[in-house]
Amino acid sequence: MKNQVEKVQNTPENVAQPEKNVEKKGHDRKKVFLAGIIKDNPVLVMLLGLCPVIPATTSIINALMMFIAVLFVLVCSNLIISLIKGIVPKEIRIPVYIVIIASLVTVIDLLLQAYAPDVSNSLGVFIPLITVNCIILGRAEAFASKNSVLDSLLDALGMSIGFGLACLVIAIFREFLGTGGFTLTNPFNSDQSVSWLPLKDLALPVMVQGIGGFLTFGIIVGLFAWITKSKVPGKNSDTTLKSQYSTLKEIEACRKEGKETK
Amino acid sequence: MESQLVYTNFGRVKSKRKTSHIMLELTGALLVLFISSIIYYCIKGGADTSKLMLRLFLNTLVCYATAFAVEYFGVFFNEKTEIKEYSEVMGVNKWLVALKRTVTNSYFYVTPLITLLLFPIYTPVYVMFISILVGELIGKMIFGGFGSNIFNPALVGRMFATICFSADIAKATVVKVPEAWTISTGATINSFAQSGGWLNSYTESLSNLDLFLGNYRGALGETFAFLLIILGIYLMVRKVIDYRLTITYVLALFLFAFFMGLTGGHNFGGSMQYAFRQICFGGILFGGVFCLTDPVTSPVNGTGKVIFALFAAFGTAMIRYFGSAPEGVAYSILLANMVSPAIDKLLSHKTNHKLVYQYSAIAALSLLVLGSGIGTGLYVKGQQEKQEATPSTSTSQKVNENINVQLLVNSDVSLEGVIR
Amino acid sequence: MVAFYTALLSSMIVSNSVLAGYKGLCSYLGISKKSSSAFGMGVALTFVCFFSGLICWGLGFLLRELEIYDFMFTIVSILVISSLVQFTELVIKKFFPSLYKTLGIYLPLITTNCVVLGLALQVGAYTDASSFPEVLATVLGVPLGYFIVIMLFSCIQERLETSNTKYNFKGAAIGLVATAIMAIAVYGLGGVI
Repeated sequence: MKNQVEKVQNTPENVAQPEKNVEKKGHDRKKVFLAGIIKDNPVLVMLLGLCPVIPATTSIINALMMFIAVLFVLVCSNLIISLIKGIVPKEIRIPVYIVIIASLVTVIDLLLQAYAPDVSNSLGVFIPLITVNCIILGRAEAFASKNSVLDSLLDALGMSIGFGLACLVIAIFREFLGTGGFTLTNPFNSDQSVSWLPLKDLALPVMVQGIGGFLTFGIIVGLFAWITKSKVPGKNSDTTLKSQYSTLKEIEACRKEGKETK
Repeated sequence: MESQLVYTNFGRVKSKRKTSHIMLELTGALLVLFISSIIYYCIKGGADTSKLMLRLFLNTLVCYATAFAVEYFGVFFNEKTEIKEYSEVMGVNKWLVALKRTVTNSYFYVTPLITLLLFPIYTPVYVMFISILVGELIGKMIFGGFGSNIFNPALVGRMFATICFSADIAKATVVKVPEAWTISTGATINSFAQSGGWLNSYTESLSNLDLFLGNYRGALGETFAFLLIILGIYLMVRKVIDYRLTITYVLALFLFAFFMGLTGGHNFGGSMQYAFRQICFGGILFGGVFCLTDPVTSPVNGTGKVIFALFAAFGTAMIRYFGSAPEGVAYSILLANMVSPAIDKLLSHKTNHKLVYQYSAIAALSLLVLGSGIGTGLYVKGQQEKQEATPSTSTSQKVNENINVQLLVNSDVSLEGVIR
Repeated sequence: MVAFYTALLSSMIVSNSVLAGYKGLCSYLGISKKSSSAFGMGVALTFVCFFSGLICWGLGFLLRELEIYDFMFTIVSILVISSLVQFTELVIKKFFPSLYKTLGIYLPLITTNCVVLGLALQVGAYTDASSFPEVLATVLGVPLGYFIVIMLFSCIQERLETSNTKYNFKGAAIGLVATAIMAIAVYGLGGVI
């Protein structure tokens, strides 16, 4: 009996659904893409995939190369996984995803070792560690295995652009404070480099080490939350403070009156 | 609003004294040290006195101005809504409210003075600026102001500046010395064994009295051992600082050096003298009286305090005698600050069952410190004997990065070489 | 024997995986809100690191024999780790159900923990079979160091909950700043061991 009543009640909404669906898909696609950059930025808001952030942000070139590596792995893995999502049985899906991601990481690792050896040396073990980056496996599990190819592609692009922008901002601060300026070396030919070091004498070399990395990262996460978030719910109730202060004023006024009468 | 009972942010009732009085007495003690160092450098400075005094004045100005600015805006940043409400209700300008809070609630005048006394006199102004900026901003303001920090802000700033500018600080201590003193080498065991070893009290030409009175160039607050002992006893008696922390720390290091001397070949009297020299030299007394005893960053529990001080003493000993860093006090106090919330958590429930754990932890740590004293003595003696077996012809006289004692050989190095 | 203890202490404290190696930050920031969960994570991680480290060390030799080390080692070690984790989860679920209640939820998280894979990659690079004491020390020292740091950090986080931090810095941001100062403190220990 209840089911029939619910069915009758649900039909008007169901009738309206197909028209809404068309509009929703376009709006959703844009939301999916932009979410990865600001609202759900993997590094600054969701705090996923933090391991490569600190070693990759020691200079701007390192941040760009890490962004390219993560972009390649994330886009390809999301594409492949959403293409094969119907074929893979549910029990062994995690090892399958892991093998796909690991093979992609091996490809990009060997490419970087061959064509940009200096960058590969400075990033060290953190290129193979992209395999266990929480962003990639998390997105594969949560999004790519459930959505269409185009949505997964947009999500991958958005997430990696968010990651790249966060890394770039942190790298700008670290390099400027740590070396006094910016130095851009061509990753494929390390003889060519352009540098602009206006504040070289005032540099703080600790900022390009791990200590400065943690510090800059923490401050930028806090500042990003300050800029993007509006008032936190619950913090606006200042009525208790106001009443406390006004009672205090009354008490002082009474005390003054008492002194005068005495 | 400030009652007679004193409490920190954690609601612990400590003693019937206002926090502001405690802070003022502490600042008074620091000022005594500051003034005595001014007098010392005026007497001993010779031709460079005016330069030293100018640099000192600039450093003080920079320290206080930066600390005030950071704390003023930090008070606004952390307590904006409260200040707005208070000023609206009471009818006072909100800038003045924040000013009052900076002075009375945030005690901005303590940290810059401690930071100033941790550096040598001729430190570059930029180094001092970075140190106080980072110390106030990162060590105190970001955590939420006074009472919310985990690490001592003066030490955070000091260590940040040390890691960045170690060469500049080393250069800042190069000043004229009247006689031909032997070089002081780095804090590693090998270089000390070369110049006669730790066991021969490498500051050989410094007499006991000179060391005690602070008649050598070092960081501003750390050299005057007699003054620090007197101030420490005064502050302990007046209950400004907790006696358990300071006495445990200094005594543990004294016994460590004593056993090191005993096993290293000195007799009883020689070991006593050696241990006494070891605690007079370096930042041990200053750190033990002013930095370790910060009530916000040390544990609340009584036995927790003893464990905390023992931990810091062990760290100081290890870094000083084995590490590559020149001075171990600041690093070890930061390490102990790192461990103090864990100590608080472990000892937060005082039952009979846990008392056994507390006292056994204290006993274990004390044994560790003293045992490592004995072990270090044996190790250094072994190194020394190895060194004497193969006579080295090196008279390596590299100016090290030891920021406390800087003794130069045979040359009148003027201040012209140290420009910043 | 001395080399073993030296390597153990140095991988635990001086080359700490979080403070000096920047690995394992996701669970370091996420798990350490409560000390009990930090404890569970540390124990589970020690177990997984120990066995996967030794297995990957052995597999490194095998792959070098077959000359496919350069491009297969990452894939092979991550497969070893994930299967070890799933195997451990099944065993604990079946035989120690009470232990599963406390530790079980952290085991799948260890698959994506950079500490384990970083350890496997580091240990697999040893080409000399006589380096076994050092390998054993590393394989024990790295997770124990992570365990110590995560326990200390969870105590610091519990204390920072009651502090007066502004809302945007509360949580991970202030934790990262505290980690930076912890890194300053541990920096001074370099050279002691």
